[in-house]
Amino acid sequence: MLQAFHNYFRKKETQLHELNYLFWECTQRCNLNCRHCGSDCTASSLLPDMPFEDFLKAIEPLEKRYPRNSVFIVITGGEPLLRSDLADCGRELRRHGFPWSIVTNGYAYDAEMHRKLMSAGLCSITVSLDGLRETHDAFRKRVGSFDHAMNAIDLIANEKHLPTYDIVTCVSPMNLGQLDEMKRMLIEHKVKAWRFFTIAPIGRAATDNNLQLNGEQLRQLMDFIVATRKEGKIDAKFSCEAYLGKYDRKVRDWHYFCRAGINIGSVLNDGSISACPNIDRRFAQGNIYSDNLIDVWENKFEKFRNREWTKCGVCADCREYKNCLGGAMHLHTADSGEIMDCHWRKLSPVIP
Amino acid sequence: MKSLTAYKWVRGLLAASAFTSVMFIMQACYGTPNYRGEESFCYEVKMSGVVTDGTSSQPLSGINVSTDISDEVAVSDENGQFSLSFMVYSDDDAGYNLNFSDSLDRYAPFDTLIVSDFSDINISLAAK
Repeated sequence: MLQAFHNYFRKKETQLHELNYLFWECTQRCNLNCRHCGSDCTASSLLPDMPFEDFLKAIEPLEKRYPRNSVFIVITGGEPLLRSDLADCGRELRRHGFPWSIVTNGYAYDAEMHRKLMSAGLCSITVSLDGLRETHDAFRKRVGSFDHAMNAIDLIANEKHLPTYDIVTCVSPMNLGQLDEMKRMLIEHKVKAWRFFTIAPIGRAATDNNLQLNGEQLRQLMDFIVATRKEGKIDAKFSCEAYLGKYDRKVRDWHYFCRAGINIGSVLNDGSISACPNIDRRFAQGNIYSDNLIDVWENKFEKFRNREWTKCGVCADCREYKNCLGGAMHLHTADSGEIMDCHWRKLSPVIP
Repeated sequence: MKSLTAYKWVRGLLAASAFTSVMFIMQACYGTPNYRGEESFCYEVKMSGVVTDGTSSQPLSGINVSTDISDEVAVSDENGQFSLSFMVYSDDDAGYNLNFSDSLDRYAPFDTLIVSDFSDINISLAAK
């Protein structure tokens, strides 16, 4: 009943397709070289960082189209903290009526950076933490990454003026057994919100088969999240990356809904207009250097809003298709409609 | 089109209800928690005024004006006028501390707490 109501809501939201959440991939440079990076970033990208003026010019029409403070800008990379003008960009966004946030590995987030970003109107932040010290550093391929991330987490968790934040953990067979200890540590550090991903076979992780959870491990993760939510000491949830059948509302606040291209757009570092930055870049719908962002948002994105093309392969005659619509966009490539990894199928034999 | 307009009304009610507002909390799997910003959370404070010599009352140019809570710095012009804007993120501040310093070191630094009349700040500096 509730699922049917949600499906109707999703259909109407898709018809409306208001742009509420816009990624800006401000750089492709990164100070780490993570084993599981979904965007395959490098220390010195060949592509220069997009000038902020170019991005601002592209989004200025949004000020007229949408109410002030209703389009949320998520600055991502690469590692956004590598941009020396990050605080200036944020301050300008705020002046133009765009709340903003960053996704960071936390390595370059120290007390001075925290003060600078807070005074530029930072509204939200996500810091990655992929295990206890040794595991995290191994994932991130840099000794000291864990300590830097924890320092960032302490600054954030103790900041009373930051409206919202969370810590994300990419769960793999290497850190699955550490979740209890991580939970204890995060609660001790006053962290309020913790989100979980699994690692998709995309980017650098596409060729590393040891990073994905099997069905039993995925069920363990779900049970861990369910139990943590019941305890109520930290707001644990699974990300919106996959439909989970009966686990769906037990590990999240609401049903699965991939909003890529429906409410979520992006401006990538080369000017491409797309949805989440981890989606196959061949799905790009335009470019800010040749197209108007609002025109593209309102008149293109057909593949994102009508996902019938995903009804093939394992999804072709799946009884759950009406609920998941072929799964998340980042699990598809432009070559084929077939989904790369189905969480519901992995969980199916053991769904309670 | 009509049905979408009707839906917009319904969704407004759903979003306002404590039970169903959770439907509208969205977050990209790759992104940060969403914040639908309130104007009251973050707003711009503008301060302006004139800096003069404490003895001659002549306007002073080249005086740096800054606050403790922002990196923004204003410099007074040939009429002694300055205008400083900065963002604040809470409404519990009782006032803002302004710092005046002379880059040429002719005048002693001066700090003062401004709690009202942000656009009419008259400061006299004492020569060293």
